[in-house]
Amino acid sequence: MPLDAHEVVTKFAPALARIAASYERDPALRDELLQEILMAVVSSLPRLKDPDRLKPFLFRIAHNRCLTHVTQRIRERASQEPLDDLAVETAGQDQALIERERGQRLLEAIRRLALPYRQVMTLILEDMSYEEIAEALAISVANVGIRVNRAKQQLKVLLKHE
Amino acid sequence: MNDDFLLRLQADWQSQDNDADKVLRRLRRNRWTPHIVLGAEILVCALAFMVGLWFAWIAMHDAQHRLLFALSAAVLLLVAPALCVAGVMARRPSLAWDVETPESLLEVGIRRAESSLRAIRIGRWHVAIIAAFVITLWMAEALGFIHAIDFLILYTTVSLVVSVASWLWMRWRENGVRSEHAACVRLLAALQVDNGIDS
Repeated sequence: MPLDAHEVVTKFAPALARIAASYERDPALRDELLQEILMAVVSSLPRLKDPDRLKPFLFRIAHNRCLTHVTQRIRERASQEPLDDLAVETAGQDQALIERERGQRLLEAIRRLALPYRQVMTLILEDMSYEEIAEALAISVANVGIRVNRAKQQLKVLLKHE
Repeated sequence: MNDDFLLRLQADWQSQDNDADKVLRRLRRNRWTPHIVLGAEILVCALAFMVGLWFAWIAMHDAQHRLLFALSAAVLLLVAPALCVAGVMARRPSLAWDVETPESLLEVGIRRAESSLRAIRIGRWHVAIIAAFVITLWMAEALGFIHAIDFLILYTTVSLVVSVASWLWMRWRENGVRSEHAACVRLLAALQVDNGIDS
């Protein structure tokens, strides 16, 4: 039975928004990018043959659309802000704020990863298996494993995690 | 996944706030906008075509301004359908986002940037073409084939303004396309270094 496009985009929009955020810092451009991803999903969905492969299908579209966005917007991208700017004092803040702060720090760190590592890491964080990531990015499972390990090492440095 | 570091990151990652709902609402609200814009473009082209027909009719019945209206009619009758077709073609989805790979997308990006740069170089010739057309009109005026000096002054001014504006726009666009090309080449190199693992 064909999948309902409205249901699919409603269910996966938050995850696709996180992928868009890993490529675009500007909130207005990020919303625009998410809208383009959702439109690409709606127009591509009839071509999905196996509904069990929905996640790799959606995330491949999202990463492909984001990659094109990056190459087109490259000249407009502002220089990277230092990560330390986000390292504000968190003592005394409520739990939600601290969580939001951690999420924001992680997003900044992800944006600093080189493209191959950023792609696998965002998919790992969306709870995808190595096989699904390999399918989404058209690379081997072994390559996914190597990229994840390298991305993890870089993230540990960026987040000063020991 | 039994990696504490990744599990913690996963929790932080998925707890992020985002504006997905706002974008979803906008997507539903604007779902007809592209069709409306395309419809408006087709309408404008149809109007330009009708003005072209009207000019052709004037050229047939007004001996005094025949050449001027005949030339203008020819331009409108040729350009309006071409713009209409270009508008429709430009909206056809050219990439299958679910089939492409990151590498193939970047290769497409490089090819497109190269073809845009070629198109921009060709586009620069438009200034020479417009200049030749304006000079021809002035010669026709000087030789007495047409008598429309006021119209020619206006026509020359508009052509000059449009030519200078397009020249500047093409320079700006060329810089953008060059940056895009460089970005595609750089990202492709980064992916290919990592894909060496597979080979």
